[in-house]
Amino acid sequence: MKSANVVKSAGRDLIILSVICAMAWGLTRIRLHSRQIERMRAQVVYSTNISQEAAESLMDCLQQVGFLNGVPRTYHVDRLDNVIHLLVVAEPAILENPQVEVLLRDGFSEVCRTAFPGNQVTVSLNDTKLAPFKVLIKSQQF
Amino acid sequence: MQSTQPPAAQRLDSPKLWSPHKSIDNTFLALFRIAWGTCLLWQIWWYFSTDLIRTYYIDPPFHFTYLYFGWVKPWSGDWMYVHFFALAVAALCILLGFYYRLATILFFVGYTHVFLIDKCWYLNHYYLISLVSFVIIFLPAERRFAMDAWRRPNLATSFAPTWTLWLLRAQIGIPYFFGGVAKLNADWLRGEPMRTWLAQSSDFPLIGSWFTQEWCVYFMSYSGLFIDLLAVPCLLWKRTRPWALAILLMFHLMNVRLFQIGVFPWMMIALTLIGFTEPDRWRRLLPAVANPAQPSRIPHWAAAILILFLVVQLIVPWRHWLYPGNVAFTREGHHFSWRMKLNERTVASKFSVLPPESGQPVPVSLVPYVMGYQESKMRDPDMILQLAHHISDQLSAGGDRVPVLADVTVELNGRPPADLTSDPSTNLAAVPRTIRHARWIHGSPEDSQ
Repeated sequence: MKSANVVKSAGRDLIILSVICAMAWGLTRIRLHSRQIERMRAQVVYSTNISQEAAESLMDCLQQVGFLNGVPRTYHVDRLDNVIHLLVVAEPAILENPQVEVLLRDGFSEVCRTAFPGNQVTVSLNDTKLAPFKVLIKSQQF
Repeated sequence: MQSTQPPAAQRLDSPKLWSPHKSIDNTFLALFRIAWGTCLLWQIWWYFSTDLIRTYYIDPPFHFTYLYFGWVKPWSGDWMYVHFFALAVAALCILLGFYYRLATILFFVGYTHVFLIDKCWYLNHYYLISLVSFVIIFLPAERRFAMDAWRRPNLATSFAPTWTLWLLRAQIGIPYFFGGVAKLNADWLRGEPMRTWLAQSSDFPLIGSWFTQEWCVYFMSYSGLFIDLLAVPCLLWKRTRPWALAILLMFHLMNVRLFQIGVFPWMMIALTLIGFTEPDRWRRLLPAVANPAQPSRIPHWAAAILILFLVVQLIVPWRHWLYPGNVAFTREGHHFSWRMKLNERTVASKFSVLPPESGQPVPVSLVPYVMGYQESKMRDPDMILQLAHHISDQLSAGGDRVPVLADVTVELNGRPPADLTSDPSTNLAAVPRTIRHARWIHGSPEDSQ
């Protein structure tokens, strides 16, 4: 009788454990909204003439890495919960023609290392909606 | 028939309740278990949802280990996913109070393993999770509103010994207190790095426009300092407790918006609210146990372990005073010291090797050795040393060790970059890892002038 009870309670516990495992499995399947993942993992490349949409995305990203409105300053590019690295590669004539190539990469690319052997890249965007702001991004990677 | 409530004489207001074995209502323990289990689940979900498991623990070919914990390695292949899945199961078991003791032990061991794999990902709240996960092994939090109490009715009780509450309070109070102590430094008192952080958040709702004003910078710096320093005494004193709870709630909610620190503010809100509210106040939230068992006494060996555990935590945060120089600059003694959100610090490093044939330093790209995001987290002398050893090991291939040099600069709280390495010609590959002061670094930005 006692062993029957033990078997019964063990069976019950196994069923409960199975349900818990199923719940845990379900939990691991839940993903962030795709846009959040995009920001987190940052594998998107924006380039050439910056569209309003791209500018807004850039703005979002810059806000997440932290930027100082209107004041050029040094920024650390390893924010976003220590996962993303934001690389901004500016064209020299950006003030006249706000062309900007923004590389959002999960890590630093060799291209950027080659293109900017120095330490600092200044990005300025003149856009009625976004401006005025300047961001001086200093990479610790070069 | 046994009472379902602790006698009035044993309310927490009573001086007798400083005695560790007096009984109090244990609803707070059940609530704590549920809140803690939820926070753990959130944390584990975060790893899955962002695939940090792969990024942090599977992809990197090299991990920066903690001194004396080099033997802690990630599982090979995709087994780290299984590890995290097991942690999720354990967290759910804790939340539900199902095989609670086993679940708490497994979670503590499993999470601490993850925590110790790579120093790059050190965060104070990961450390706190590990500590609290250890503490809850000893808390009888499965005896009310838990599946264990349902499975084994003789376990169910409405009481808990007072030491459980004080243990919880001590563990919550330590980060607050040392977080405040760490803010007692010249930079913080002159408004840095708060000035920098606030300016970056000038889009903060309602009050963001003040963030660039000096009075606001000082107000936030000093209020942060006093909140941390005075949190515990104000929470313990009945008269100030409601105010302290309200202020801490606002403080943590602001941190949610200002900083990306994940589950930490929510965790602290839950722990502080549950741990420092009078236990009697929670009593009516949960149904009383019909025939409650008496709370069991803590064995002497367990009490000794817990006391030692707390004493170590009270000593470790002071250890940076044993090292010369400014801990914010050198980072010697930084870890495990509750130096949270304290500095704006950027490290730039250039490594080079000294081939024996030429004798001239040759710059080394770090790409083959560490992931880019690991490189950006390489902040303390021990990590620089580890990477130098790793590069040398990789290039030596069984022959003579290739000398590795490093030129490292640190920007601290808006200062211009200052050399961390006192002599860039030091062969770091020949410098052993040690708990002692690294003699090859400067102690402060001023030293490197």
